[in-house]
Amino acid sequence: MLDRRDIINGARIRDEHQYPERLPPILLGQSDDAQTRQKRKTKRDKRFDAPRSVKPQSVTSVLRAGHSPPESTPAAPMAPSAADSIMPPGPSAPPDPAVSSSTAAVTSGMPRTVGITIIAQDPSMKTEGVTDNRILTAQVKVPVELLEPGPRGHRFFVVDYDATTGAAQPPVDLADDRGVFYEYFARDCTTDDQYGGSAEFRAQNVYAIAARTLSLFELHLGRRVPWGFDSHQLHLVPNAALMANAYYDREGQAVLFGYCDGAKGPVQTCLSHDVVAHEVTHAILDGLRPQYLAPGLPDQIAFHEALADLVALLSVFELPGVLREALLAGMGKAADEIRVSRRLPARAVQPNVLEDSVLWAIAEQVGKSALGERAVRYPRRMEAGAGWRTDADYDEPHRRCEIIVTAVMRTLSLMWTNRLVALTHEGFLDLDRAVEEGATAAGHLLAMMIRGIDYLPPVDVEFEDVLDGVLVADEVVSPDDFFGYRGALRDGFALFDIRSLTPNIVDHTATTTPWPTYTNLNFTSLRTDRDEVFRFIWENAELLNIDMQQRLFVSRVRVANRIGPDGLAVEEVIAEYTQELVVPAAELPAVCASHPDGRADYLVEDPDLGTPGTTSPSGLDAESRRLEAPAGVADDVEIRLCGGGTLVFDQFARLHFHVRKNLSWSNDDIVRQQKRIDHLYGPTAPPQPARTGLNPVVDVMLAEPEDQLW
Amino acid sequence: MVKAQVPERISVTMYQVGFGDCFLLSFHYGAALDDGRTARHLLIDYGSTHQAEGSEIADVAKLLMEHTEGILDAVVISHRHRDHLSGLANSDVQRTFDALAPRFVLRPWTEDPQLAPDSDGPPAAPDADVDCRYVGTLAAAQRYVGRLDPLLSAAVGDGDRFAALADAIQGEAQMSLGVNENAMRLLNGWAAGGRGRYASYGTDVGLEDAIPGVHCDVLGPPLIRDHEAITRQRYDDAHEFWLAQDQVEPDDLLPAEGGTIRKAEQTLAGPTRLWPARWLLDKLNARQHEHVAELVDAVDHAINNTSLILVITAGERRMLFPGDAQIENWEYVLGKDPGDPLRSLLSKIDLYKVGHHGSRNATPRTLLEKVWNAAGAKGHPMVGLMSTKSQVHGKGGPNPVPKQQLIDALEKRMTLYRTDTLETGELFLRVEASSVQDGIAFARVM
Repeated sequence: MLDRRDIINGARIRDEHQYPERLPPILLGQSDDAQTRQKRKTKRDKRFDAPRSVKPQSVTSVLRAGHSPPESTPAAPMAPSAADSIMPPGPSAPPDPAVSSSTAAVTSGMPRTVGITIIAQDPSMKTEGVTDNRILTAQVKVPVELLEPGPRGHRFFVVDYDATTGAAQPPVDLADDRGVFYEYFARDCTTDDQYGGSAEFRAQNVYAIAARTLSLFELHLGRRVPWGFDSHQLHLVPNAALMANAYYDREGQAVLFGYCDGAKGPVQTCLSHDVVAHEVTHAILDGLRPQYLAPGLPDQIAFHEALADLVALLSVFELPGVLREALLAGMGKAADEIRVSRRLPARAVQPNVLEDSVLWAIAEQVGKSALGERAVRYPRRMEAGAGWRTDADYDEPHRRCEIIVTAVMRTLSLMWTNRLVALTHEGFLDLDRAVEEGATAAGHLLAMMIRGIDYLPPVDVEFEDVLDGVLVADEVVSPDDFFGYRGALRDGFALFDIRSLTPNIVDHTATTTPWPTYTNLNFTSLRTDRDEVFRFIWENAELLNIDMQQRLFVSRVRVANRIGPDGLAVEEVIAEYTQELVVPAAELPAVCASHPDGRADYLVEDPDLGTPGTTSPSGLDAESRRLEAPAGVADDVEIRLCGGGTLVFDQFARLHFHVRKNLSWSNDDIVRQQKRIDHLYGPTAPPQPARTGLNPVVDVMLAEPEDQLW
Repeated sequence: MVKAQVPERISVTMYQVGFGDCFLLSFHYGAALDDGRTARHLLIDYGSTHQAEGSEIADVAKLLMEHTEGILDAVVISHRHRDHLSGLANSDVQRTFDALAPRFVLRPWTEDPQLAPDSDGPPAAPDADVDCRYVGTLAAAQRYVGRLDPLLSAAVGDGDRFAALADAIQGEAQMSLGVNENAMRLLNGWAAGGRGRYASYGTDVGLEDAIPGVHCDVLGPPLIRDHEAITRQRYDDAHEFWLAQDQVEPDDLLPAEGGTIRKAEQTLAGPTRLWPARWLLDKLNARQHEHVAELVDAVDHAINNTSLILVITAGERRMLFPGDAQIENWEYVLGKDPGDPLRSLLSKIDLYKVGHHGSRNATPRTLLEKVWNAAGAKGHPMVGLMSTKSQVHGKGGPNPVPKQQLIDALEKRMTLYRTDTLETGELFLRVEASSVQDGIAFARVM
């Protein structure tokens, strides 16, 4: 029987690849005795066997021990929360999966979540005073699942293949006999080299952070989240190639992490918490909004980057130890005294101090650590104002995303301060409480941002839509807004002249809005059937201001479960539809026209044949708008126009919200379409397809204006 | 004061070097100059990566000796790609050239030794920092690409993994692989003692000192600090990026012992080799190849964009030699007002050396369609010289070099002479024109 030492040394990995367990039974020989049958059982069969180390307990004995009986919970996944803790390195007792929760002890022995050790920020973040210059690790809670060697679960598949050298590492088995994760590695890890040099830990790190990030999205969205490609498993490649980059590759159904030598030694991007969370967020958002990686307005790909940065940063902020150290670092010489007294002066928690000394200090560390003194890219704070709208620098997605990141960081500092007002007494407040409130605010803000995704249009998203989506989504679950989160968010975005544009989100339950018709609609069908959603749109197109002359496709319909303000579960049905029209550039002006009074018409040549909703070109006035291709675009170039929307149905089968970016031809729509055409087909068209890597440098180096090429 | 003499006749000789450039501008004077000669000679580039059938690069050196009568007054190397200076690396050629001893050597500002990362000299100007960094970036980028050489040429035991990569990037990589040490040594030797000039947009290079009556205007490349349209940030990011790539050791790029796809499959899947993601390994390899190819492409673009864009004026004749400058280099001068002194030179050009051997991204459409076909300029006779070889770059793809669409557009506007249509054994082509009469076109004489 191998003991743990052998496992750490990899003997188990090298000599027992689990292959005998997966070979067909016929190759194991036919034998009926119980021992052979037990041996032949795969991990899947053994999952629900009683764990050998724990006797099954009765309900009575559990209650006497003070644990509450298990509640029946809905199918929503368990919540990873700010209870994720910072763990100093060295021997420690990881939660034994068999007894980590009362549910396990009474029922099947299967826990709902398991704690997995990860590197908290980046291997170069070594903190005196807390960790004695050791790598900072944390334990994160990850939903339990059957883990095959890889590790390979039902959503992720870690494949350790290095395309530069052609070397592959054998699949890593992180599971115990029952197929549940067991913390083999960090328990006996005594030196930092073992983290970076170990294929097992690399696999564990990327798997845990990826699974945690996905579970955050599923928790806050209230439903399972598909990938943006036709498969259930996303590949994670921890040491994919020698490159100073990491990126999500939809076609490869993978997230690739590069490695290289930085100024301070070898750098493996798979060991950076923020890099893994960032890239997995790209993959998740691609599943929620696949059109955001297609050609579109500059805000669209910038939002991809901004969300990935924010999930990475806010996940780091949720780790209380990180915030505590940054708060103390901002206190200078007083830090040691505060460490002892645990009393923080109120001046340390003013919004601007929190923002500058704590949040941005962490963000800079997060970026810097990747490649020495200056990272390839990190979210930078930018100056407030509306100058970004006309500055060509901000057409580049990695610069443009800084606007949202800065706005959200400002929001977080305001939210945090609002939460601390009641806790300040005689100019001081408790350090640990202050930190806990910060982590809580970060968690809440992350939840707001994620929930807002469901209220974004499926195409042509702009920063105003992001603000609106987050505000509307938050109002649904938290009408009271006790801590003034929504006001803080409005203020944060207003710094950059981004204000709410509510006409894009229509509340169809308001008394002033016309009600749709629900005749012959079947709500049971509507919850899952795209054709039923299309029927609803067909019956209500005029009310919804959708132009049914153009082809419309309902791409997805899903049920989401949220917890309402009264604590009861609330079901919503969320459906997305898209439209597309392809027109040769020369024919663009002939498509349609809008009028200042809001009317929109198709253009027809012969006015005598005009039907309502059409007009002839000669019938237009000077202020009518028409679409036109940018100068220099050849007549036969195909221009793609697109539109779409998100429909949110409430638990009473009523249409609650319609988030619109239509192909209909109002003045606003034509202005938006023209902006998009100018951006995608003009002289400064961005490279396609859009990339979601850390490193934009190559794209910028290779960009050339199409209109000057032969 | 004695009026500077102006040449009466100019001849431009384009040598057959296959895929490369080699041009000799000869200026003939009516009367003897100070040294008793009646001619001055200027060589622009001398290199090739793919020779034409039946010719060697060293043959050109013999012709140069003959055509210059043993004295070469000035040399311009537009940029440091192999197809513009490889001829100077040949040891036989070097002996010949040493005898030619040019006293004026013009190169782009990025070649200025003062800006080299390890130079002890003071920077050229107080805010030259970003320019220094750019030169360092280019050096790091070229070193990285240079390290690909063993990877490409020694695909030992792993042909299936690297052959496709080698094909894909061979063309571009060959240009940049390593710095052509011998050629650089020769050039630096010539440039020493004050004979070297390093130019950027607007630099007064003083060609008249070597060739009386002939003026050289520099329309590109701009200094980084002068190019407002390009952000500093872009170049700072590129600098950091290439410094990181520069850490790569050659050994790191070579395949691990026995590292083939089959071995990787076995490791990942076990003895059955039935594994749910076999195709993933192919995808990962393809991505890696694309990534490396893009980096090499980026270096190629960057070096091309260090090309000097020169307008050489002698009397009434104006000749445009833009090296391999691509759009990013061109856009600086084309973005100026039409009335700008340097920009306005472009409106009346007699001879155009087609940029980058006829590729799609080195002759801006603005130049051909708007400047040379503008109402006032349309009737002005022009001649084009294109030194190229087909089936070398972009063959079989949508953008071969030279690109037919560009050739058609050029032929509509000017008489175009090409080396890729010369007969085997024809080693050069020459056009001549008077420099004192207006409205005269260059005509082919040999």
